[in-house]
Amino acid sequence: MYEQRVAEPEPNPQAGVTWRPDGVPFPDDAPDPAVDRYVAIDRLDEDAATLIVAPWPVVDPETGRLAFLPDDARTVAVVDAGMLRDRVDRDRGSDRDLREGQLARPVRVGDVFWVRGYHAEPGAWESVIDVTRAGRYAAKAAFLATASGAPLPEDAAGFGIAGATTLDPSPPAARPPTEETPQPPPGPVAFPAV
Amino acid sequence: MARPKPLPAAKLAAGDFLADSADADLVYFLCNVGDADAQLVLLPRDPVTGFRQAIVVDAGAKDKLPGLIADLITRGILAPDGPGARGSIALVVATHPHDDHVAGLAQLINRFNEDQRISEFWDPGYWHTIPAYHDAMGAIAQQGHLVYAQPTSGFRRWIGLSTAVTVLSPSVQLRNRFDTYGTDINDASVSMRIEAPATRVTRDPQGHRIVRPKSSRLVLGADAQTLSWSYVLSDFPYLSVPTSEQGRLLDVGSGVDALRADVLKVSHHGSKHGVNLELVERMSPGLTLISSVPGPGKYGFPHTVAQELIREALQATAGSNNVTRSDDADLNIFYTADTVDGANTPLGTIGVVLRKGDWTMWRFQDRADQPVDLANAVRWS
Repeated sequence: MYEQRVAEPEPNPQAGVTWRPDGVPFPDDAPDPAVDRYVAIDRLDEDAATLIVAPWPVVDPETGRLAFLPDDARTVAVVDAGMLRDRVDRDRGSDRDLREGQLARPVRVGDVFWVRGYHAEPGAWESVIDVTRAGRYAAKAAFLATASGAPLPEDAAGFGIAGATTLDPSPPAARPPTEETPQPPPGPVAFPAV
Repeated sequence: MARPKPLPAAKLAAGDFLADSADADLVYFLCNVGDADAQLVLLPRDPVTGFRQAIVVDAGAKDKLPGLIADLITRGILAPDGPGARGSIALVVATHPHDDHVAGLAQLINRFNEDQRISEFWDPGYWHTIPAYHDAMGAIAQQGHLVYAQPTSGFRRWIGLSTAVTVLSPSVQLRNRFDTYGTDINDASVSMRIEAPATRVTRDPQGHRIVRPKSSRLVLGADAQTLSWSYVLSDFPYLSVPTSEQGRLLDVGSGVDALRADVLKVSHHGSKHGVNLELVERMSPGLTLISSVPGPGKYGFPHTVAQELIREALQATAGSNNVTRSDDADLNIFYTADTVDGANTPLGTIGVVLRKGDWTMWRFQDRADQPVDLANAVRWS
């Protein structure tokens, strides 16, 4: 029987380690899955933002995937999109004085925030950090791992990917400039989201 | 939104849903899951195995679809556990990764992960940051055999002995913009037409004979919105077939209108951006179904403007002073949020038996948080 991928090992999220993506300016005691929340914008309908709120995830040591436990602790919240933007901006800093790793931009579907002191009203959140770059990186990696598997480093040669460049999820400012950046061709160009 | 007008109880009668469906019929369930989508299509019974195969389209809530599928297995409609179960669920489609379409997906895939029961999984390739998306990707990755594909418009897949699935959207032009926020997540939706029995060939000593049976056509609109549908209308033009032998063969081969539908599941819960007049006119459905909550809900679906344009497409009144708008039920527009006149009874999940383009509709009287009980069916007449 043809198989598209090697089946992943059984997940073991209980043994997971707290997800702490590089380049995100967490405070020293964060993130803490027991008290912090992963807040993702699922949809934007005119002035309403639908948020999926879950315990801060761990990285499953067997599969490498994000695990959000317990799954019955998730909630769906609909908030005013303008209020959400205001609250995010308050902790992001001004346009001229952005915190490291933060971007000044409107909220969009797929944006992810670390939130401490979650409350139904975004204005009452204790602290918030935009972790969209890391969140989108993890989501894209999740589907690529599903499409073709995620081999361990020691198996990389067997898949013909040993020595391949690792795409860095941290902000561009944290990376040294490279001369290999290709120049766009004439004509319409699409740019990455974050 | 305009709350659906209660349906007259006199037009509903208890009956035997399963006995009503013949082996060659296509059977469709639009489950009552509120402002979400969970759908199941049962393909015609395979005369060799004696079982039907299923296509799942979205699982926007937990428990509902797994419970229904388990019941169909118990009743011998789908193959029981064991080697014969392989491919029993031929295809699972996550039309797009909004939570109200994928919240129950991982549960469904994990529950039916024995015997390679699920063969294939499609999504549009729009990756999303919500936990349910991560869960679903993880559940699929547990099964090495499960084929994962990201189809775009025009892709066709034949399943079983007589069913053809045509992907209507997303256009590859939209897919190529996913990574740049250039496509709204609803417009990423995989919408499709399911047709059974499809055009086939028979063989005899003289060669092949193309046969075009009278088929049933089901269009499932996902949450595609007007931009996506504009590409669909461009990708699937109406083919004006001349009354010649060549034209007749063209019609036999692919049909003159790939958008024509006997049953339409309206996109995006009847959102004002979900459908447009020209589209519904092209599809010209005999039965139009909307998945939504009974009250205003979080988003006010279905939107009145969408309801009105669907009505106008099915019964043109613009420009005429002499036509009185019919009730939705008389236009064969129904909602999972329907109720019965004089009672607060929910009509809930919709079951449709499609036979040669004709349909019968059944209701299972379940609330969004209740399982589908096939023995609780009432037939609309």
